[in-house]
Amino acid sequence: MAVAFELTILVATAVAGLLTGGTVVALGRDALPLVQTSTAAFAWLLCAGFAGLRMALGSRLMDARRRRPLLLLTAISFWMLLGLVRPTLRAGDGLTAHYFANAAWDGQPARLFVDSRISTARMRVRWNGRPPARFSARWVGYLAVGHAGRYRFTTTSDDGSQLFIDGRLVVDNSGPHSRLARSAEIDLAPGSHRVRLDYVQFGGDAELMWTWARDGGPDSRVPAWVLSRRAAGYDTVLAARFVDVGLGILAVVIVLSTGRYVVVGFQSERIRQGIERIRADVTRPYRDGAAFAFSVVIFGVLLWVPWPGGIGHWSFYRSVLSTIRDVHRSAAKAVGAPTVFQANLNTPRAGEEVLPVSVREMVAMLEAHNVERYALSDRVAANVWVYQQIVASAWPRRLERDAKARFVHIAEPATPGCSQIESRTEVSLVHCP
Amino acid sequence: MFIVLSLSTVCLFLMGSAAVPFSRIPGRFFEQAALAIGLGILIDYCLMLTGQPIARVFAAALLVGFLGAFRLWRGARVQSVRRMLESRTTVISIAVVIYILGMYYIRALSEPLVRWDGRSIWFFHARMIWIEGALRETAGWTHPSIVFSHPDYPLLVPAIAAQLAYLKGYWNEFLPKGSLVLMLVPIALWVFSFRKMTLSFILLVLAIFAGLGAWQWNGFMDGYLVIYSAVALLTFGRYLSQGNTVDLCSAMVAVGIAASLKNEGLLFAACFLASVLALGAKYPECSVTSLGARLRSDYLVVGVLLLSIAPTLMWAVCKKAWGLQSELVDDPFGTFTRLSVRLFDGTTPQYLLNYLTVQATAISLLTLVVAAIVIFQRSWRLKLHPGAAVAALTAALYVCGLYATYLSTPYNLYFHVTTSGTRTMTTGTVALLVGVFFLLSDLEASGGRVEQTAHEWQSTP
Repeated sequence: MAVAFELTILVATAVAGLLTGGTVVALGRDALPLVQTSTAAFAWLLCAGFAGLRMALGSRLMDARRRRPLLLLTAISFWMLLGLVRPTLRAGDGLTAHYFANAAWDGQPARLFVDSRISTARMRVRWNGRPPARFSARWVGYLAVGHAGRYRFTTTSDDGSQLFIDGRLVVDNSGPHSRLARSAEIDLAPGSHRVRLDYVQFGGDAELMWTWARDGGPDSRVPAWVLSRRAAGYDTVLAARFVDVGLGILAVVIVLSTGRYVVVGFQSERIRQGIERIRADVTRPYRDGAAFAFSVVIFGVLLWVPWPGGIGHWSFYRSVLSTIRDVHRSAAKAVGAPTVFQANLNTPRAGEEVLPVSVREMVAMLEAHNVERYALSDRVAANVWVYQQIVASAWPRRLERDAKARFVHIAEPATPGCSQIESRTEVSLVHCP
Repeated sequence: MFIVLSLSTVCLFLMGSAAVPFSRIPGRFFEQAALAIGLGILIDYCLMLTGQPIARVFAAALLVGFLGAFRLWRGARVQSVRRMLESRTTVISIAVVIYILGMYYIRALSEPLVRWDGRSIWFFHARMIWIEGALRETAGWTHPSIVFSHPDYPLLVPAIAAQLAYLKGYWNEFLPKGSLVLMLVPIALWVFSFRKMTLSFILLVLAIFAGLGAWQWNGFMDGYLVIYSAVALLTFGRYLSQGNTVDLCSAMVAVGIAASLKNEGLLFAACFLASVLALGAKYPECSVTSLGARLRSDYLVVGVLLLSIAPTLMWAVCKKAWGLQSELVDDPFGTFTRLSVRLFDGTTPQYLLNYLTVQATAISLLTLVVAAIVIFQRSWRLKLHPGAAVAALTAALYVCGLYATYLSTPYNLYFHVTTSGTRTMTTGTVALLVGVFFLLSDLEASGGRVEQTAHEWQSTP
């Protein structure tokens, strides 16, 4: 019976994992993260942690009458059900956000996200806490309205911002300026309305706030749950809202009931006896003093052996210490800034800043001009790192000797018969027929 | 990413469970789970090597996974789960394994791909597969501009990285490194199946999980080759002392994965096989007769053996069909000429030997340590652990193999050896450390007994 119970929990955990994973996979094909991924991950982590703890504690370690976590199992079951329903309601997941590393919404976006909340803090997070001096951002999607009425929209921004609804410019707060709020009113019918919010930063302080009010009511921030990537009816948006709230409540219930279950388990006298037994085991393998002493000597010698690890040519113990320190430093950094850690994983093309500037410029120009085959001048190709990285980063655009599009260093003299297509700080793209 | 990795691990486990019914291979949960995930990795790589689109590979993997789930459902795992639940040290082991994997998850995914090997070889190949949507010739493996990336290298980790990117739907410089974390899961389970509260086990854990440093998160495959080679030696050593089929299968799977990680993995596999056969004269468990009898009597072992060598053979066939060849062996006559010229030039052999065993590695010192322990053991009239003998001989053969490879390199030898010698030789270094582990384990357990193994210790009341 006890084993069947444990297996039930294991299967429930596995199914929860499959469902949440499936949810992410299903919507992940849009190249954008699912808005409730964090909730799903949180609940899945709880399930896995619970199952691990339960297995670790062992069925024998608890009293039979305390062994039935009915509340926990019910919460997990309902969470799984709601988790299955939520992806089918493609609503209330926020707006598609494009972040550009220039002040003109120009070229390919440097970062692509789904933003449920649009705010200054969210923008900083999207740039990993270090936004460029000049950048622009554009959010597109749908705004669900439940009641017909006259809506007042306000953008408060530093620098410019513009709000379009159903293709019409509603709030024009554009241009370089310090913190400035501008409002405009529009009549909206119930249903889904296409919305686009543009923001640009020309330098200095950056700020953006987007609020709304209906029929002369007080201003409030536009809530995340009315924003969707796809057109969705108000009833669908409301349903998604209820499901999200339900998932949140169930997550809290799962946390509390898991905590209670674990506390009950640790109160067992048998746990204390088990710890005593483990303590006795530590000394058992060494039944001979000489063997123990020799092992200690060998262990000590090995710690001082020069060690060729990935850290450097140090002694074994220094290499080990350095690795442990490095790993924990990373963990502390990730725990201290979890949104940055997640943003790096969830952003298409994140991390390309490690490439040399010239490589990034070449990739951007290839994409901007839709060039499929390109060549490099001898001077550009002479830098082996740049040569290899442009080949790897531009793939499947291919480097061909006879390609008409050619990258040259900006200091190179113009080649007769070639016309310049675009020039950036380190390289130029020329066309040589 | 956490969810994708968790899902992938479960899927790999179920795929492996489909291949091996655990009721036929008794063992503890850690060994069986590690073996299942390892087999899952090999099956997945085989599916990718068929050249099918990634979506179709996923469909096939799910089908295999369902078969595995069905087998588990039929109760094959019940006894094992029950044993795991009742084990005293499992509490600590599970916690430590989760902790280690969690730390490496964060470390690997905190940093974008920066170093050359990761960017220009492994994850460039992964991106090629992801862009093509399949591991097939049309991805452009023969394009002259990518010769620098060694397109003949095995593609196990790139294939997994491409699948992860496919699941996420986009590429960036962080998330494909999740494949490295996935490769660590079976390693953690295998290593902690040797759990003992002794110095030798602490040494093993430090060497595998903390000794290799950045090679386990910066995209180099050398660290992974080292740890899979070490696990092959560890599990085979335990097979020799205890005769458990699960250990024999684990060793075969670990060698199969090592051979699909890097070309040096093939050298390791050859050295491992040679040392096993060579030691057959001294240890009957290693003999061709004994291993042959085991293969004849148990079709499951044959199946695991075939699965272990299948990816290597399939990749060899692909390479032949696509016209890919390592530049180190493309001209046998030239290779032999370079080797013979350097061997007799009066300075290169000594320099190379000194660099590979003294300057860049700890092999010479570890050899002395091994010798010291053996002498100490002999004074106690303890029998030499067969696993230690296999590990030491494999290390020696591997060093000789790399020595010959460097002597015949078509590149500038000094440049080649100084840029890669330390990394490639670490497999030999850690193989020697595995030998030390077995010898120390014998010493630790020798108070009145010739040997006390992890399994026996576990079951000691």
